[in-house]
Parts: sequence; C-alpha cells; structure tokens
Amino acid sequence: MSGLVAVAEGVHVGIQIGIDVGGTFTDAVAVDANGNVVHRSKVPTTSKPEVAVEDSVARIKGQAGVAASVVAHGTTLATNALLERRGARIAVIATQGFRDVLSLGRRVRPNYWGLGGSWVPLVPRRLCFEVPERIGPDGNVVRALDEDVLASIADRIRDEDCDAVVVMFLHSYVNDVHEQRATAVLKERLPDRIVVASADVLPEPREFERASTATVTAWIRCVMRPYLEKLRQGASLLSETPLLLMQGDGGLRIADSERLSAALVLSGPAAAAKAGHKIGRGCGFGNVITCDMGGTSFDVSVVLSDELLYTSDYYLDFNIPIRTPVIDVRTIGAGGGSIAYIDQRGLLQVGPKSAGSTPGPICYGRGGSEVTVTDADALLGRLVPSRIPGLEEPLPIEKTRLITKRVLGDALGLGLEELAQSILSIVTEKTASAVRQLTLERGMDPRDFALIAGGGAGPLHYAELAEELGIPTVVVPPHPGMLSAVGCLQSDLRYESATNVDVDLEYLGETQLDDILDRQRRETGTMIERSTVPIAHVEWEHHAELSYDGQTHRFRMRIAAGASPAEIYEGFLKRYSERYGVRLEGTAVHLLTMRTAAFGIRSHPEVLGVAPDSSTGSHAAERSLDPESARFLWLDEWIKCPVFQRASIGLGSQLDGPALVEQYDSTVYVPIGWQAFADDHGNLLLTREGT
Amino acid sequence: MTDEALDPVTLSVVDHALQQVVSEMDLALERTAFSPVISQGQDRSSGLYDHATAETISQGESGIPVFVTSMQDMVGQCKEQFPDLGPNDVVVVNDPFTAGTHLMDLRLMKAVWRDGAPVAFLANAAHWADMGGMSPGGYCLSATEITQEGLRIPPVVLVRDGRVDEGLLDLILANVRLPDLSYGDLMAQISSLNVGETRLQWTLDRYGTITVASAVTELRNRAEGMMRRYIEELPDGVYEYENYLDNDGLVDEPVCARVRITIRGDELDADFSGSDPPVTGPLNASFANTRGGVFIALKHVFPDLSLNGGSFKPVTVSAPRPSFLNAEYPKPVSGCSGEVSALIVNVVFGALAQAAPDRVPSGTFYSMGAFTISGVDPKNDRQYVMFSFNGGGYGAQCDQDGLSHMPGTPGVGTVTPVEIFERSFPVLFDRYSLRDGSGGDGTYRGGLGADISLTLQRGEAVVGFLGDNGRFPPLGAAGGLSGAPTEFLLVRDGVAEVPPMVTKVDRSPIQAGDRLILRTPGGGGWGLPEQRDPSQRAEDVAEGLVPGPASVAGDGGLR
Repeated sequence: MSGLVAVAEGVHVGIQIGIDVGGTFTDAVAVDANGNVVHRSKVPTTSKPEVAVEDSVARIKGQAGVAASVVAHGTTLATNALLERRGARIAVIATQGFRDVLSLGRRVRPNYWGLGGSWVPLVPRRLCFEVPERIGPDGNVVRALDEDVLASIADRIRDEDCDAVVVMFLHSYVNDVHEQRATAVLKERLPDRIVVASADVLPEPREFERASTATVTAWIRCVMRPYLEKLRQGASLLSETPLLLMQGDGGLRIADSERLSAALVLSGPAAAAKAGHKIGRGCGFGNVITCDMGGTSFDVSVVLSDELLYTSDYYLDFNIPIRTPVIDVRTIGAGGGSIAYIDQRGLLQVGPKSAGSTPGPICYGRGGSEVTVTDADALLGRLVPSRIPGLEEPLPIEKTRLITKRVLGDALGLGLEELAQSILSIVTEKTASAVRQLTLERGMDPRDFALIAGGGAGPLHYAELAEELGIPTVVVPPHPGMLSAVGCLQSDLRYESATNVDVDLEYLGETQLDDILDRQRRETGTMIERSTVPIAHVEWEHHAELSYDGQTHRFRMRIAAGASPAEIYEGFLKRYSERYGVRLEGTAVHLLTMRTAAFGIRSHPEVLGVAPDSSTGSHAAERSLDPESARFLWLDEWIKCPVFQRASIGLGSQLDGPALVEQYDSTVYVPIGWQAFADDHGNLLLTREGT
Repeated sequence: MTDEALDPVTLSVVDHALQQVVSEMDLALERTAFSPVISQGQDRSSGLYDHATAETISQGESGIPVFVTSMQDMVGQCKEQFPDLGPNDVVVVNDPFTAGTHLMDLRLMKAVWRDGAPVAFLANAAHWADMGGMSPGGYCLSATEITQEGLRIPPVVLVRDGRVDEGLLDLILANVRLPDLSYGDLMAQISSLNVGETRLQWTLDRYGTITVASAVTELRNRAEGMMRRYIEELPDGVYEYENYLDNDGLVDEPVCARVRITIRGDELDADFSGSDPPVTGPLNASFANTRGGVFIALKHVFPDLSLNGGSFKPVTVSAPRPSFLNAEYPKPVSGCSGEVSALIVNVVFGALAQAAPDRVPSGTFYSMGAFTISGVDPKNDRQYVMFSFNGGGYGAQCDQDGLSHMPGTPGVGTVTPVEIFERSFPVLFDRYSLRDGSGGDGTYRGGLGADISLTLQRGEAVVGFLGDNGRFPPLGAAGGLSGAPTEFLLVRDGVAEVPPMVTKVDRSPIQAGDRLILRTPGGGGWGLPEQRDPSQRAEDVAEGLVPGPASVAGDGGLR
C-alpha cells in the first residue's frame, strides 16, 4: 500500500534544529546525528518573533561549529493573529448574490442556549464583492464571468489596500474555470497581492466551509509571508539552510508562503502530537494520549494502534471551520495562567480566562492580581517561583498568600491550602473531561492508554490527571516544556493532494480509482522532490471519504493502493457497522473525495535528554538517588519531600513519591503512591505502585 | 442507597458521563442520518430518562430546544402503555397528542436493562423529510384535521427482541413519499440508541449502578435548586403579555397567545388563559408542546439551567382546554413546533421583560420561514421534496446588538448549503444574503434577517410556505423600533405576488423559470435610536447593514 523510493543516498544528517514560536515562549532544540541535544533555549516571544529564531540559529552554529542541515519550525503566530483578527486585510470576491457567505455562516448561535454573544466575521462586509458569473451544480456555465466588473473590483481592492483576495464562486469544486480565470486576472492586476481560489484549497461542496477554509488560508499566507521574509533577511544562516514549516496535518512543508495551507493554524499543537506519537512508540506504547499544558491552554491528541487520529471537521473558533484534514487536537482553556474565581452560585471555577505571561500569576511579581493555577502550585509548595528561569523579581510566597487571601478570601470557608488544593482538583477534572470527550466519543477507553506529558505547566498535574482517568502510566519525556519544538524535529515532509470524485462506488470506472491515485501520487511525489530536503525515502497514504448515498456527512477511511471498489465497499460497511451497529443493505455507497498524502521520511534521531557535556556522566545507571534538597509540600499537612534535579537522575534509577523533580523547562510532581523510573530513552515513567 | 454521600468530584464525573451518553447519541444520529434536515439542520434530540419516573436525566445540549420537555412526556406515556418493555425492544411513535410535536417528528424509545431488570430509558426524535399526508414535507396549510397532515403512529413496538417488525416497517414506508431516505433515517435513529446503550452500560460498569443512581438523585435536586434560585432572583409579581400570529393559514384573522406569569418566591406559573380557541388551520399545539415552549424561553434567559427533570419542577404551566395552545384530536398541528413554540417564547420573553428588562432580548421573530418545493424532476423522473427552514434576526439586548441570520428560538438547526440544495433539487439560487436594513433601530440594533431568492430550473412543482411575522413584526423594547416583517413572494411569468394568507401558502403551482423570494424578519431594537453611539451608526452604514449612501445595490429586477 505504500511504495518505497530511495530519493537520496547517504543522506547527510548534521545538526537539526526544531523551533516552536508560541504565543508566550519561543523554544529551540538542536540535536546532532545521534540525538544528543547540543542546544536548547526558551525565551519570551516578543513583537519581533524572528529575532529569537535568528539568535537561536546563530548561537547553535557558534556552539556546534557547523550550520544546521535543516530548521523545522512550528508556530502559532498566524493562529493568534487570526483569532485576534490582525495581520491581514482580505477581500472576498463571490458569485453575484452571495457576498455574505462568511457572515451568514450556517446560521448557528454562538451558544446553543441564550440569544446573546457576538462574533466578528473574518472579512468585513465592505470588503466582500460580487461579480456576475454562475456555474451550475453539474459544472455547466450558467452565466459568463463579467471581466469588466471583475476589473473594477480589482481596482477597488487596490484602493482599499488589501493584502489578499479570496475568489469564492459557487460550484467551483466541479468546474473552476471562472475561479481560475478570475485568479489570473487578479494576479495580473494586483501583482503583489496574495490570491486564493477556493477550489484550489478545498475541492468540495459547501460554500461556507470552503470560503472559510480559503479565507483562513489567505490569512495565514498574509501573516507568514512578511515573517518568513524577515527571517530569511535577518538570519543569513537560513539562506543556506532549508526551512520547513510544521502543518496541522503533522507534516513539514518547505516554507513557501504561497503554498501554505489552512492546516498551519494547528502547527504547534500538531507538532506536540507528533512528538507524543514518537515518544510513545519509543516506549512501546501503541495507544497514547498526548497532553500539552502551557500558560493558557490544554491541548490533547490521541494515537490509537500507532496511528494519530485526524479530523476534517475542525473549528478554529466559533464559525471558523477549516475542512482540510488535521490532527484531531482538542483545546480547552486550562493552563498555568488560568484564573480561579467564584461564580454567582458561589462555586469555585477555574479558567478559561488566563492571566497569560503578563501580568501572569501573582507569584511572578509582574503585577498579576488574580489567583491562577500556578499560584495554587506555589501555595502548596510544588513550585518555587524563584527557580523559574526568566523571572526577574518573583514575589515572596508570603505576599502571594496575602494577595490570594484578599482576592478569594473566605468565600468558600476553606483554608488557604485547601483552597489551592481545590483549584488543582478542578483543573484535573476539566482536563480529564477534555480527554474523555476525545476518547469516549470514538468509543475508546482512556485506561488503555499511556499519557505523554507535555507543556511546562503539565508535569505538575499529570499524575493526578492519570489517576482520575485510570491511566496507568505517565511518560515525562526529556523536554516536556518543549514538546512542539521536539515534535518539529521528529516529523517528516508531507504533501497532500485531493480529488473530488463524487460517484457511486458501483459506477466507478475500472481504472478510475487507480488513475486518480497514480496522478495524486505523482503530484505529491513531485512536491517532495522539489523541496530539496534530505530524505531517506518516500511513503504514500491514501484515504477515501465515503458515505451511504444520500447521507451528507462523510467517513474517512484509509485504503490501500490498488484496492478494488468492492473491497472499499466491504471495508466501509464493516467500519460503519462497527461504529453505528447497522448495515444498510442495498443502499449504495458514494465515494466523495480521494486524498493522497506523500511523506518524505527524514532521518530523525530520538531526542535524548542528557546533554553530552553534562557533568553527571550520562547513561550511567545509578540505582540509588540522593535528593539534592527537600522542601515542604502540602499533602493535607505540610510534609518535607525530596526534590531531585532531572539532569542528575541516571538512567535506570527509580524514586518514590511524594517527590518533585525540577528541570530546565518544567517541574514534575510524583504523588504519594506513585513511582518514577528513568528509562533508557531518557524518559521518566510515572506509575502507580502496584500497577 | 441515596444517603451514601457522594463526593463532589464523583458527582461531577458521573454528571459528565451521563451527559456524554446523550451527546454521543446526538452525534451518532446527526452523522448517520440521510435527510439534510437531521444531518445538517440538527432537527433531532436524544435523551436519557429515569426508569421509575420517566424524568429527564440528561438531554443532548446540541439537540433542538423544542423537544426539551415533550420527550419526557412522551417517555412517560409510552412507559405506562408498555410496562414490560424488554432489553431489545424499541417503541416508535409520532402522535402529537402522545409525543408533543408535529407528525414529522418520529420518536424512538427503548429500555436499558442491567442484571435482569430495566434501569433507564433512552429516546430520540428526528424530523423526517416527509410523513405522507396531503402536502409533501408535512406542512399542509389547508389541513383541518390531523389525518390530512400525514401518517399518525400511536406508540407501537417496532423492534421486538432485536428484530424489526418488517410488516410495521413496510406499512410506515408505504405511507411516506421518500421511503429510501426515511429508511436511512430510521436506521440512524436505531444506531443512535445503540450508541447510547453502549455508553450507558460502560458508565454503569465504570461507576456502579448504585453510585450512578445516587448521582442521578443528587443531580436532579441540584437542577431543581438552581431553577429555584434563578426564579427567586426575579421580583415577585404578575406579568402579562400577548402577541399574535398573522393567521392560521385558512382563516385570515390574527391568533392571540396571552400569558400571565406569576412569580412567587422560587416558583413560577405560566397561565395561558385568554389565548384563542383552537384554530381551523394547522397552527394548533398539544399541551406538551406549549409547556415545552415555556421551558425553552426560561433556558434562553438562564442558559446554564440543566436539561434535567428537576429543572422543570418549580415551573407550572396551564392552558385552557381546548385552546390553540392545548388542542385535542383531530385538530391539525403541523405549525406547532415552529411558529407556535416560538410565539410562546416571544410572549414569555415579553412578560419576563417586565420583571427583568436587562436579561431578556427585545422582540424576537417567530417565523420559521419553512418552504417546501416538490415535484418530479424531469431529469431523472424522480419525485423530490426540497425543504428549508429559514432564520431571522434576534432582538437586541440592553447591552448588545441582536445577532443576524439566526435560527428560530425553538431550533438550533444549521442551514443547508446552497451547493447541496442545488445538487439535490432542480433549483438555482439567485441570492442568499443578509437583508439590508431589516434590523429594528435602537440604542442597540436588532439583528438582520436573510434575503433569499431562487428559481425553479426544470419541470413543474408545488410550493408550500409556513412562516409568520408578516403583519406583526418583532417589536422593539425600551424605545427601540420594530424589525422588518417577513416578506414572501411568488414570481410567476415575471409577476410578483403576495400570497393571500401573506405568510402561509399551500401547494401553490410553479413552473420552470418561476421564482420564490423570501425576506426573513429582523429583530427588534433596544433603547431609543437617538442614543445609539454615532460611531456604531456610521459603522452600520459603512457595512451596508442599514440604508445609506454606501449600501450596495442588488442584482436589479425584483428586489
């Protein structure tokens, strides 16, 4: 089902750099050919995110003496810009009568109940234009494209100083002759603007979803183009090193702003999901739940039987669907900066509002005045703010206690420690709900999974989360706080091609399927070749999107190249009946879309934890451990607990909870009744005693 | 067993698990249904009910509001009728006088057994594209008896010991216009029950029957407590309000719904005395439907109320019998779950606004704007029924403009994409846009309705339409102006015509080239227009939302 093609012999693998530019921090990890970490850094993301990237790349060259062979880059820059509606001014040109496609949406309320709320469409109505043209549902031209009107709209778009234009004509997924013609005219008249034709982005029916996906694509290109230009100008090193961007489908693409897809909105979370997949596989776990808890949010993704779960139903936000397949990452507002408050019913709540990094938690001493999860950690002794890198003047714990008392007071009749403990219980419950949602709705039981611990704020809470879910093992990788950067390093090139097929399986021509797959295989293979990135070989994966004739939702199913329509039919009936308990005998099955993904498999070593220059003597098993310090932790009473340094925990050693393990990018909490074991891959495996 | 104190974390986890059961049922039904009304319009609902009391334990939040309390009423009646329902039996029903809403809403119910005894009921409802009767799609505006509206199914056992009663199935499918589609939807409803049963059994395995039972009791008490606290926040008093339907589709006279809401302490009573007697046309409702309307309004005002039987307890509802809000066999009822439910929400809002003006939106539309086009497509000689609900603008609130192009208050349904309609039916849309200038002016502006126009491409067809707010547009509040009324036009041979009943049309013939134009209502404004922030007013003009020099002209012709 997947072919193997040797593209390059003796692939040179030197230093590889993984970078993740998040909303709060920019993380960089560089590894050598053996997976040894030669550099790592975590610096605040500023208004000039490219500077931190340039610095990291330059420093790594200085340190390693050679330029990196590749830079793999994940980022939420475009996502955040889009959510805040900044960084792009986009115009839409629609079929006459349909310019409001983005405002109308699918006529849903922001909330199921309650008639309030608001939302801002991606494109203001004054930048939505109409041009006389019409294609019918069979692809027939009903009304010719009026190029004079189009030309005058192009002039207005120039006057309005738009960065990009989305061309969104009805039924372009069957016949895109008008979209292509309009795109050509616009490119000629607006040579420096980005032009996106809807069917190029998503050759599928449903005008709102296609328009939304196309507009998100345009937005991403608008935001990434100047950023990538700055990056190439500033970091001269990047002119000689291939720069790859992480996509939400879990693949890397050469950083060409003209070719970026809407899937880039999930770049950072997808990278973390890929890292979780690799780490789990390294430990022998086929089923893993990857959690990534940062300052504001908690992301969760799932690997089932060694395959990452995808979705084609992703909503970036209310009324912003993107319909390109992406890794199914669910996000909730629960992180270290999530704010605790008392609601009008007198119940304690946590999040989704976050204090972010500025002002941040009270204990950061940056003027934060609302109690956060991180403050609760500090109040319980789990976290010592003065040991967090980058904090200039953290607040003494007495002051944090004082402010917490003043803000949440005695409203609940709890002592300060009990209050902090309750905040953490609520966070555990909220994160557990998010995990249950993702697993249970697919009929999976979280108890059959291992939890991969990601995010700076996560490892303080994951053992309790695992306990709540009945998950037996938590894997804390060497760099949990840099999971996305590590994931970028560990991902492959991926290019996708899709064809709108739209025919009953029964009527599928004998060679039709093979022809489509052959073509898609060639197209995607060419993309990989063009990227000129060193790879070991190419693999292909094919997916069919199917439904019973007449259904409007689609089911995604992996198929083998060369599969016959009859095999696909049987496969669909079987999978459908497994999930929904019925077989609709005699009802035709419709093949809607065929998708092919090509993977340029790169050589990426396992990212190890212990730096080669570490003085503790790496890879030397030390069966017993001496805690370097001890600290009082609140466990229904103040108890003195050992505190270990991650870098000095030798492979093969084991420690018992309660204990804390501090490391550069995070702190791990091992509760009473849990053990931590350092495995050969540099992971800490947390397990409950007796399991 | 219930005295065993549940810790708050377990309670919250079980609550979530029980919610998960019905969410998964909703999802399964939506994903596997064939009719766009269900799969796209989400016109369906799923619930879990107490075996002893038939009270709602949980109901899918994404299910459409109109089914909220009537599902519980339906389960209660079926439970009495079939006290010995086995573990693999499924009951089917669509009788409005048992189930609550119109004939098109087909409902299934099954008992969940554990250790040899029933422990709960699962049920779902889905709006079928056609249920037979005089008019395709079921909205027959000339019906004067329910028997004309379609096939009426009293509670009967459809699946016995896991085997579908083929005879009954054939009988049902022989009486609907789209048997293949309907068969698919029925199977989707059965799938949803299967998915719900699996998840519920899993939940009982995981937490134990006793723990779940005590959680159910505790959750019911808490739901009731929350409702009582909310009612208590409203000042005691008697609040009255009335509003009107344009007509019943047959007799061109306004139909009045009048409510008198009494708030005393933590209890609320809604009395519909003074509402009009049953009407000739299909704008009647069963009492279950009326009671449901009151709860829909309350949950829109207090969105975090639980969809749990406990929430219903502090609220009493009465309506004179007979009246159009408490109709009996053989009155026709197809308009009950759309216009009538939404009218109830409108009048309950109107009364509650006197008690809590800052919590209730101003006039919100009660027109579902449902049009049906049916005929035989000459291209494939197949019969088709095209059906579309249409939304409008919401009333503004004391602190925000109304939302534009929204579903009716008893619905959540998404609109079917134009491209899907055109692929399925011989129509071509000329326009689907916001309706400029339709929001009522005010300090806060009402939301905008939609402006829709389409042309029949091939053959001949008949058009049905059921809407309202044609003569009584959504009103403004606190000095705000009304939104625009519904406009429905049929354009035959280039001549536009307002139908005699304005917002109700039954089987009106059209042919290829004829057009249908629908402009849906805007919401009422809130507060005096002269107090609107000038920058917001300028923004409205720039965006073309209100008439002004910048507003964009349409495509000419009939606008």
